[in-house]
Amino acid sequence: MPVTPTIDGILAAAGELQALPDSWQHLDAVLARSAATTAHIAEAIAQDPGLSMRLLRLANSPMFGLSQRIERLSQAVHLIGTRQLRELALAVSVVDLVGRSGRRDRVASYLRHSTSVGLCARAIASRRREANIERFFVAGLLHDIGRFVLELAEPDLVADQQTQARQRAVPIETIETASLGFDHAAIGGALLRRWNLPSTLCEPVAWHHLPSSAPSQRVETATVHLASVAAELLGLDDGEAVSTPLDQSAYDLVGLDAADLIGAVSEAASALAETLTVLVGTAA
Amino acid sequence: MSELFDSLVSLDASLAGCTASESVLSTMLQHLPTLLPCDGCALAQIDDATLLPVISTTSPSGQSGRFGRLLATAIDKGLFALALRRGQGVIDELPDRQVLLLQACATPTHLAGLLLAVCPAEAAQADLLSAIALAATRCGAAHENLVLSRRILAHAHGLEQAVEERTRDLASARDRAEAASRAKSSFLATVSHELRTPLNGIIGMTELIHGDEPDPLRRDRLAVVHSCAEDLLRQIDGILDLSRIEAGRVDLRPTEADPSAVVMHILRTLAPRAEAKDIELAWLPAPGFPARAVIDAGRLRQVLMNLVGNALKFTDRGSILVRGTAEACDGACRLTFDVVDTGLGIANEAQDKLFTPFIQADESINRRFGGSGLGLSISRGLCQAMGGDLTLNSVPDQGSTFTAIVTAHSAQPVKNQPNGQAHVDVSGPCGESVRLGLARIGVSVSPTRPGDILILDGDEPGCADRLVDLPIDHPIIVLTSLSRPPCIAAALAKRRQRLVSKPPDPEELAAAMRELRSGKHQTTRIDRGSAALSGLQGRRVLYADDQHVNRLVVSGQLQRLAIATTLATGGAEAVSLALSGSWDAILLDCQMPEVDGFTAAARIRAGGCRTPLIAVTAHAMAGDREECLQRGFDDYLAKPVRPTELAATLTRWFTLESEPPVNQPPSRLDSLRAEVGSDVLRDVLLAMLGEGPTLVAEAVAACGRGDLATAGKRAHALKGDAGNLGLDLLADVARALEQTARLGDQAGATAAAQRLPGLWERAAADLRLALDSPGA
Amino acid sequence: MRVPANGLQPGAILAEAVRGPGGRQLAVAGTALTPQHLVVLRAWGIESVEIGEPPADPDRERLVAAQRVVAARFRGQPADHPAVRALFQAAVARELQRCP
Repeated sequence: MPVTPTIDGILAAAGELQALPDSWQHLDAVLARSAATTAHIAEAIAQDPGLSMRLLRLANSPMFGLSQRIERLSQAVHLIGTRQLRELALAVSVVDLVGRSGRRDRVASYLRHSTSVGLCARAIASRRREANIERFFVAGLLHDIGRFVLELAEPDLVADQQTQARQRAVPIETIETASLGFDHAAIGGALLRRWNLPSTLCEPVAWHHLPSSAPSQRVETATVHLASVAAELLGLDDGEAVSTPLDQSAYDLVGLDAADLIGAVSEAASALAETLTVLVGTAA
Repeated sequence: MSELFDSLVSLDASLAGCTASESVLSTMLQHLPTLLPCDGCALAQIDDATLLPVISTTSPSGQSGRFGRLLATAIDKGLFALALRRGQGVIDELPDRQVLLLQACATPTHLAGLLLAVCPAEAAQADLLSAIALAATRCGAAHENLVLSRRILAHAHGLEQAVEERTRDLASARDRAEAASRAKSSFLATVSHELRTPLNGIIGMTELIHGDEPDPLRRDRLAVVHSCAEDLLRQIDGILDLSRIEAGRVDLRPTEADPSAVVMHILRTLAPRAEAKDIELAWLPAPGFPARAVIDAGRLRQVLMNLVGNALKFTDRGSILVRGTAEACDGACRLTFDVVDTGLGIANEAQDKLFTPFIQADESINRRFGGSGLGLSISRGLCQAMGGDLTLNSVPDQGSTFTAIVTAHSAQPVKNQPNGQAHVDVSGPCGESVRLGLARIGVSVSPTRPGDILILDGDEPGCADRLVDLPIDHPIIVLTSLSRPPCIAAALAKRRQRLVSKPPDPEELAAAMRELRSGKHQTTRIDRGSAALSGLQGRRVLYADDQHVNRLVVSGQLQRLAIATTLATGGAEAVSLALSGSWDAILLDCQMPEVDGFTAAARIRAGGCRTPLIAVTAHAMAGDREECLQRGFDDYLAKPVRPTELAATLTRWFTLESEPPVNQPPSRLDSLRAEVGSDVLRDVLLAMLGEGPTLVAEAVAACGRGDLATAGKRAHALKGDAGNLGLDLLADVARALEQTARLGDQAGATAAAQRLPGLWERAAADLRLALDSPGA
Repeated sequence: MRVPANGLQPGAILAEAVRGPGGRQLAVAGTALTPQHLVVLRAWGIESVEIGEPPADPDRERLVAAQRVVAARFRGQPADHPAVRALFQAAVARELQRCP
């Protein structure tokens, strides 16, 4: 009789993903000091040449739409902003971890889906003129980290679930909940809490299927929900899976009209390929 | 940190106090240095023409060039676009450890402007930048609110303007509609006038040809032409009146008039038609019915003419009675005229429709009787305008009673002085009418007594027998139909009698009784021949009209009455003919070019001619009669002139203005002589001859200078004296002057005053004759 | 046809209006782009615009095929929702572009 996996059990099987890398933790400590100057931050980043290079590439990616090339790290730090920098550094670190953890084809597929939702969430937040839109990017990027972790821990189970979902034409979380009692969103939320990330990131990941149930970060959760549904429906990830049904109260909370939503998703679509190259290229 | 917080609070309060969108941005720019230790800052706004941001203000001022270059570089790098796309500012590195902050003041739906600030690189800390971003968002929201509210206000203002414009449009539409309504009235009046003139010709000539036409078939056809033309005339009049009533523009001209005379005029006019259908007409005024009342006699005449005319139309046998009653009501007097017929009657369900324009009670009625269906609507409208109403009470097959009520502003009761006795041997409504009429002139009705005047119905077959036992000098009044010679004409020869046409007019009865008592009777006149009945034959009449057709029509009508007619083609010619010849009556068309009828009448009077002046007018307006009477005419004939009306009017005046009784002293003098003795009478006559010229001269002079009060007093004195001496005409005119003077009617008073000297001369001649007479 | 802003040439005709962040209209549909327009589009960070005639109606077979593929993803969605309807149209257009 197979043992039903628990969330803790699944996380325990996540290997390197169980903790964020030291470089990010060091950067986070520097950034947490309110007196930190751009120079301090640039210096901290520079200690990780990989991170430095990836941040510079991100600053020059379509996400920022700059027509002049950013060459110096301090310039990138200024431009991105120190708070946003922290989010982007997190994103780069996680993509790095993921790239090291899984099979190449699974990683590519996962990152494509994650990045498309991240870009959608960012574009939606940009249209809402949110401060620090990069945290929406990161939340979107991380929203399905639970699925990646579950697949690492229970590859056969996940394959079976995917087949069932396809056959029954239902969202994957329906099958997960039926077989495990919880879904990949719950796994992702648990992982992010383990990473000591703030609720502005944990909640959107944990509740992106049930945005109205998010305890406090309603707008962030609704934004990630909307971004994931839109990206999946539009087929940005080239996947064929059945999407979570659109939560209408979440849509209302975000407050974009249909045309704005399509505009945001199109913007994300046009930035997707290059952003992915920046992120995955570094992961390769 | 607390300083930053204070600065934010202060900025927030300042933004909240802004009432103009421009001041929001300048406030933000002023406060920016308190948040960020900067080396100058600027505000950029989107230029509507280029759609690119341009520097609008700098702090300190005068740095537009520097910030313009910084902005251009930032745009070129794509930093403007980046700043637009996120809630947070964008930092760009500058030389010398300085940075440029680009911060959009915006909401998701509105871009207010772009803040630029240059500060040391180390000053651009995350917390500070977040605070500035927060402030900029507040600024964007405040700006958006004000822009939106300004748009709403502008929209509301636009609405106000739209309302104002709409109001102006409505006002001008109303003005146009009123102008159109005035134009319509004027058009209708003009059209009415223009149509009436040719119609006069058609109707008049048709009547003439009809009378002369021996071929019965052709006569019938002419009758159809005539009836069509008359229908057309009625339609025109009706539409004109209805349009005025509907527009609420009924011109009422209340003057003091005798309502009985109004009714009598109508009954006399319609008598020939009634006689043709063998229907009896009678005027039955109740005892309290006033002798004079301030009413619009023309409008009342119009209403009653319509009602009696309708009754005549829908009654085939029996009688049409007009009952008059009066009741005091709030200082005014309500006059009620019941027009009672014995005709078809009208079913209940049809009664309501009756007063709706263009609808008759029964569609078949229209085919049988013609008519526009406007009459009752007009009549009801007129009655309502005159403070009353028009109602109907009808039982099918038994007859209808139309009740017209009008309010008279004041009324004078009949002066009921005892005036002898008469014996009435007339049956039916006519008899009742006579008895009521006699009561009004103070005559009591008695059984036959020697000396009492006997009143007979000349149309009653056995009436000749009534005369057999009567002494030859017994005074008799014979009521006769207008159109038929009395069947007892032969029996009346040599008798002391007067003829009064039916329906009997109390005034005529009174005149006839006076004449019989005074011994002036008709024996000579009846000898004049068959046409002498109305005393028209051989009379001399002057008729002036500029229109050939009218002259032909009226002169033809006059000739048919055996009246010697002289024609004038204009006012001036009429005046010279009037003053150079001797006339029994002068008919003047009112609307002649150059010298019109009114002017001609005034000149004729001024020339000392006292001949009755009769106005002939195509004015369709009711109230014209009064105007004519006020402006010097004695009577009025509306075009088209009808033979019956022409005959009735002339008869009336020839009776009133019959030759001065040179052979007979005034009857009143005889009775006075009997009452007071010859000596006293002589003194009275001498006094009157002494005072009379003064009273007349003073009345005329006062009237001439507009002193109507004095004119009225003199006229009052003159009226009393003349009345006592039986100088009725003089008394009548003096009374007219007194009344018009009291009403402040200068034109009417002048017209009356102008007649006084001539009448006085004639009266004075009578008085001198009486002085010289053997009895005196 | 969706064209990236950096690939635009003066003279291209806009198939639909271009709006900047905040909804400001930068060019109306039918505009023939001038060099100044290109400056404005770049300044406002417009990444791509719709150029030329709207894409010709795909033949019915392809359209039905694309709709069928997309409809599979839309199973369970509130089909009457305006955002879902807009996403469906965008997804069908994208599917048609992806599989010419």
